[in-house]
Amino acid sequence: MTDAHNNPNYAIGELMVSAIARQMGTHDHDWAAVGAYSQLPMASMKLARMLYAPNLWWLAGGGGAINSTSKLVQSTSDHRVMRGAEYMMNMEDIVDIEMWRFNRGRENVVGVVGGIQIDRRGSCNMVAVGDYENPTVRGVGTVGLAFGVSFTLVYFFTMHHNKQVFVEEVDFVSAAGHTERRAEHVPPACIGAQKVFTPLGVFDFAPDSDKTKTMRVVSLHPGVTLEEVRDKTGFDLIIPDHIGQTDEPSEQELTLIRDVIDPDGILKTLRISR
Amino acid sequence: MDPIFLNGKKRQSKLGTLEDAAAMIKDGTQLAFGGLHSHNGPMALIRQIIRQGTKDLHLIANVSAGMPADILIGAECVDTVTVCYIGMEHLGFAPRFRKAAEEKKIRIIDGDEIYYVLGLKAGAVGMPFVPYPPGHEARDNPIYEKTYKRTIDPYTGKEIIVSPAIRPDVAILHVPRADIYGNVVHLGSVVADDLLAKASTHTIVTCDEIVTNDSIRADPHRTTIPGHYIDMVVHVPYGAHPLSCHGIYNHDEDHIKSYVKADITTYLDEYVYGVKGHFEYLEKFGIEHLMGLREQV
Repeated sequence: MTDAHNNPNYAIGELMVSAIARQMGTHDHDWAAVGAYSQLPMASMKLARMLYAPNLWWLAGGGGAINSTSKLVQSTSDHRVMRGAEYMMNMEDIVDIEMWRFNRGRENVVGVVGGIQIDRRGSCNMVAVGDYENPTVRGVGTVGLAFGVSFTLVYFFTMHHNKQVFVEEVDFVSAAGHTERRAEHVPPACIGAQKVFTPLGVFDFAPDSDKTKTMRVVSLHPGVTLEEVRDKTGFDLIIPDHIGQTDEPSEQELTLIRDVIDPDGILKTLRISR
Repeated sequence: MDPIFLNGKKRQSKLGTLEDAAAMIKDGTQLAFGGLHSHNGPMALIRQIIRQGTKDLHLIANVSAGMPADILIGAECVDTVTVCYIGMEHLGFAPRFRKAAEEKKIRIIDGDEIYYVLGLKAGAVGMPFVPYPPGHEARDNPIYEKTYKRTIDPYTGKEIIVSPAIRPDVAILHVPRADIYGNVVHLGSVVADDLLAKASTHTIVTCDEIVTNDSIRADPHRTTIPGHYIDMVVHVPYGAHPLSCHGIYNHDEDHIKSYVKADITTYLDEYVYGVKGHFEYLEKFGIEHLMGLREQV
């Protein structure tokens, strides 16, 4: 059986880029943002614009480059990312658009983000593991996840899938998942976390009550078993009757990734762990 | 060129030295800095601030801060830090910030991009606070962080979240180009440098290149911050190193990696206290290495 983590034809990072890029194919004409430490979603945006969503607008993090066509580099805000950009946003521009649904609302504003903890409801933590006043791990800060309640929707990606990342309940809510607090306070036009792309599979969120949702398995990457996913997730996932296998990257996708998007092979060197 | 100055008056140059600039930053100053991540940070000036022994800073860390915040905290210059993000991007956590936070050596104000950017915007225009649209009640920053408050929206009668205006005492920026009057030209990301200049009581720019006032006038669309916001201009080639200066040189990833792993006392002794000034710091790296950072392959 083919194994996405030990495959002669592609790296796991390339499979994840393909999966996120195809998801971005549903966002032609939308506006999407990636943050820091975001080589996977950066490559995905580039691939999506070539193959699936030619009218996608995307922001490469706080550096402000819009629709960059540069090769992949490590730092989202490296000045080499400016190459091919159509516009350079400053931070006021970025905050304006990331709260944009309040004054326009013609298109979706999409965030593709990560977190040090993600929980069953899709809440995300970047601030502190443990008690907020006495953290065992002090995180980097909430940064752009503040927009989790103003982006139309959010996709998560992670480079690890284990019980430290996927927890029952996050210790600090940087971005609000499908919680009762969200149902009470966040305008319904803002639909929150929709999918999670991890090294093991693709997940979405399904209702578990009137007001809340829990993470559900959509597809597993080749070679990944449901047992492994359960063992490495710190809460009970919703398991649907049918679980698909994540599509492998196509020859066309791999050629574009290797020849155009990531000629330096950064995706193959990312420390992605199952 | 300026028109002829009459009555014996002359337009004043804002040029100063790193020592002059650092002297504007006193103990307890609310200090903001520009750039983001490993890019466009005023590192030479920050090293001088550390060297002069500044204490008890309230650091307004930039929207995505890395080494500039981490080294000031590691050198024990900081009492309070307003945090949006402090980390080393793909190189992991910022180790001295993390340690100081976990050991409670510093007071933390847990903001985010909205708190920071709209707080500065409010500071720039004199608005007292920032009212938030509904939804932010669902996340924890406004719950745990005491500088967020609640008030009543007089138009709807509903309770809303507000965060304070931010008005730093001093902002320090590193930019690619400026003239002696403080007109700034960015060659890459502006991030919030322009907003910091508007919101702060004083703004200092260090620049890689001093350009003529004529070259500014030749293409005023390229001016990213007008000089009237700027108090002092310091010519500091490679003044962002080991961070990048967008449009001129890349960040020095290998050196930043070694900084992350280093013992902070040893690092400061070697690169800050152990050198007399900026050029002695640069000599530790050598011309070949520094020129290599300009290769934009």
